[in-house]
Amino acid sequence: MEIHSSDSNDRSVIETLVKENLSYFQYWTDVQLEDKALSWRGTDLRLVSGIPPNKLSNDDSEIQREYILPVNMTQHKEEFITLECLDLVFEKLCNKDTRRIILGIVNSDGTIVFYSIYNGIHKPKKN
Amino acid sequence: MGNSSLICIRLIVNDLNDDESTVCPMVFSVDDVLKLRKLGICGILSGTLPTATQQNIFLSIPLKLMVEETIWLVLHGYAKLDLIKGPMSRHFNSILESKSDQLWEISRKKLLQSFELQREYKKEQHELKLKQLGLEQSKNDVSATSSSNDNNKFIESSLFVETSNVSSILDYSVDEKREITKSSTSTDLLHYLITNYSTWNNYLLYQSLKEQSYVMLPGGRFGGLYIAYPGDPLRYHSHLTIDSALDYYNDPIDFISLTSGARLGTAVKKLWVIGGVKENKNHTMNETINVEDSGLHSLKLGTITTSFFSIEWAGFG
Repeated sequence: MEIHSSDSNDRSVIETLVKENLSYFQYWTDVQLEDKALSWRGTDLRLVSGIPPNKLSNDDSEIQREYILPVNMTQHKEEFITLECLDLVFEKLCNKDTRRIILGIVNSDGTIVFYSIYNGIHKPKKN
Repeated sequence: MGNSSLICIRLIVNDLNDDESTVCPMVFSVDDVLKLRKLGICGILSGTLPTATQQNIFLSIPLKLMVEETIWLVLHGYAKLDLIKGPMSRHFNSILESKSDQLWEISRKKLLQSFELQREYKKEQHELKLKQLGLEQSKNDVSATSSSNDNNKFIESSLFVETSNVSSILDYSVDEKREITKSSTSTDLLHYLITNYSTWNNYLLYQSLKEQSYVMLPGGRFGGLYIAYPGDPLRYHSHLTIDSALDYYNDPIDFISLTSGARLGTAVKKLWVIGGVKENKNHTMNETINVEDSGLHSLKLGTITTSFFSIEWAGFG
C-alpha cells in the first residue's frame, strides 16, 4: 500500500482531467464519474461516462453512453494496467453487453488521447 | 496420413549450437507451397529466377515460413522437418564436381523428352487442322513428304525449353547430409526455433488466431508481430495487426506502443490487437512438443484460453 499511496491522488487528478477534457474540449454532455469501483493493485479504478456529440462508430445504430477508463501515460512503467486488469474492467465495471470502453490516456503535457478498446477480436469500423 | 503427403520444411544450418548461423524454415517444392496455401499458410516467396535476377515482384521458391507456422504444421502432422547442412555454396560445389556428369545426363534426357512430347503434340495439332480443312494428305504422296519436311523445321524452331520448378540438386544434398537429421529429432529443432526466434506464448496466440480461421503474415510493415486476414490475402483486406504476446498477469500494457500501433492501424483500416495466454494448463512448450514426438499429437485446445483486445483510435483527442 505504501508504494501506491500517491496513486489515489493521481486517480482523482486524471479522472478530473478526463472529465473536463470531454466536457469542454470534445463537447460531451452529462459527463460523470461512475460509482462502481474496481480495486486494482492498491487503487480504486472507476470509469467516467458521458454522451458524445456524435456517433463514435458508423457501426453504432445511435449515439450511446460511452465509458472511459482514465489512465496515465506513464503508468505502464509501474506494471499497472495488464491484460488481466482490462478483463476485470470489462467484467466488473461494465454491463454484460458492453463491447467497448474508451481508454483516456493522460500525458504529462496536458494532452489526452482517446482509444477504443473492444473486448476480443473485432472488425475495423466502416468509414 | 502417409509420409509421402507430408510437406517438407527444410532448414539450412551449419551447426545448431553455432550462434552465427541463422535458421530459416523454407519450402522448396511448388506442390508443397500449394498445399500450404490451402491450409491457410502463405509464407513469403523469396527466390529470384537465375535468368531474371533484377526482378523482385514475382519471386519464386524457396518459400520462407514463420517459426510459428512451422511449429503449427509439425504439431498438427502436416509437415516434417529436414535439415540441410550448410554452407550451401560449398556444399553445392562439391555435389556439382562429383555428380556433374550424372546431372547433365539427367537434364539432357528430360529436355529431349520434353522436345519429343512437344513435337508429337504439334504434329497432331497440324494434322487435325488439315483434316478440318479437308486437306488430308496420303502418306504415299511424294510432294507431301517435302512439305512435311518444311513443317518439321518450323516445329523444331518453335520448341520451348521448360524451366523446372524444382531443384534436382537439392535431392542429392539431402541424401548425402543426413547425419544432422539423425542426431537431432524434430523436438530439438522445434525447441531451437521457438527459443531463438519467437516465444511459446507467441505461438499459442498464432494457434488461437488460426483456429478462428485467420490467415497470418509477418506484421513488421505495420509495427506488429503478425497481420491477420479473414481469409486468403489475395481476396481480403487484413483487419488486424497483432502485437507480440503479453504475459497475461504481469506484463504492463505499453501505452506508447499502443497509441502508435493503433493510430497507424486506424489509418490503414486495421485494429491493433494485444493478447496474451490466460491459461495454458498442460500446454507448456516442453509438454506439447514432446507429446508430438511420441506420436500422440492431440492438441486439446479447449484448455488454452487466450484473451484479446482490439484497439483503434476513438476518432477524437
